[in-house]
Amino acid sequence: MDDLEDLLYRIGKLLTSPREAFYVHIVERRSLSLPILIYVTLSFALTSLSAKVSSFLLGLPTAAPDLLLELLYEFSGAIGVAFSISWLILYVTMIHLVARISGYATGRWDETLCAVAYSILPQSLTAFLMGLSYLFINYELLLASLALFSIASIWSIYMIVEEVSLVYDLSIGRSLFVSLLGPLCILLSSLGLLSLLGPSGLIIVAASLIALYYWREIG
Amino acid sequence: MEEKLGAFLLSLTFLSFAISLIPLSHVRYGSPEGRVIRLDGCEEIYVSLGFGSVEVLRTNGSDPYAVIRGLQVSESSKGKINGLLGRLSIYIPEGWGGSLKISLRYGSITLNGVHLREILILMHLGAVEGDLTALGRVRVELRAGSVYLALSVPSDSEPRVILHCTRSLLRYDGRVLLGDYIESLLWRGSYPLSIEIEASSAELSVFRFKG
Repeated sequence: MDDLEDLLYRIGKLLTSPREAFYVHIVERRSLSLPILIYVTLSFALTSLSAKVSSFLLGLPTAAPDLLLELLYEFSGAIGVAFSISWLILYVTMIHLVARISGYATGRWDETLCAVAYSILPQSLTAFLMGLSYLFINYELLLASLALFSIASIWSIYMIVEEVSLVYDLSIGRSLFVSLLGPLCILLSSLGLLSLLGPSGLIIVAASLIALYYWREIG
Repeated sequence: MEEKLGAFLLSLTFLSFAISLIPLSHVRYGSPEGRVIRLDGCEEIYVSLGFGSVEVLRTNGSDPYAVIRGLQVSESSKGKINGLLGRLSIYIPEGWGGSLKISLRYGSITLNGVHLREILILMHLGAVEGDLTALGRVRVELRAGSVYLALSVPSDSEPRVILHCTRSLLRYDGRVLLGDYIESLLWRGSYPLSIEIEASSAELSVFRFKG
């Protein structure tokens, strides 16, 4: 019972004061299972519900044969999880690389993974409202969930910035650079080089980042 | 306090997951039938929707009507339907001589074998697909999106086609034309028929029928 209370306390605390709650997570060396479970569950719910709601309430899209489309909607959750996990790994790797390249030697990749995975927690209310709009075929609830999605996203960003600042021992300003601006610059330069040079542009970005990373590690 | 919040968040997470497992086919049983708007005697139907889908279908009835499901969708005056988001089905009787104008910001439009004298579609982003019988004028204008249309036109008409898209494909009489801008008079006839499409990509097949 104490374990359950502790777990619920930690989850609640993550929302109200993410820095404190994540400090306990790091100090007590908690496993990856809870953040990953929450991340996968919510990713599944969000992608599946948004696909089903858009199909059901808005009737979109209609360009493919019905049976194929219906199958796609039914498996949208699994497809969404695959994309979300890939994005999680990519995003965490970018944060870790930016932190290391910027000269911050503390912090581990798996801790950042937990931080980013936990940051999906505010979207639980969004997913629930979307679920209700799907269940009761209600457009007002759909609009409310869309409005809540933007608010929850801001809260998620706040959680990531706070937790990354704790993981790599950074000020909030630097954490904002490491967790948001740095990865954004990498993404934009990758897209730019991809459109200019094709797939070799991506290889150039990856090779430069790896070279910088090892140069910093050895240095 | 935190325990309660944690329990609340976890229950929301698993409840949403449980709801997301409900298949679409099951929810359809409880689907609302929608509100019917009679468009008796309308020669012009104008639909303006923010986000959603519009389907144009045939009916055996004598007058057109629409079925609407959505948020803030209403009939503002005779033949005019405005809305924010939703699904709209417009039923057009065979031999109806009116014109249809659809303005949809984001979404999709499906045409299911209707006969129309004039149709005008304006969209920001989305897709237009289906088949229709065009008797006078067809104009589809999308800022971004794709158009897949199969048009049946009377063989005694003189159809002039303009496709202005990044990728355009026109099929008629066993011929295929490709390009980013296609302007073609398909054959000579007794009265003009104008077909204009502006989109990111368009695929248009034109079939003759003896009308």
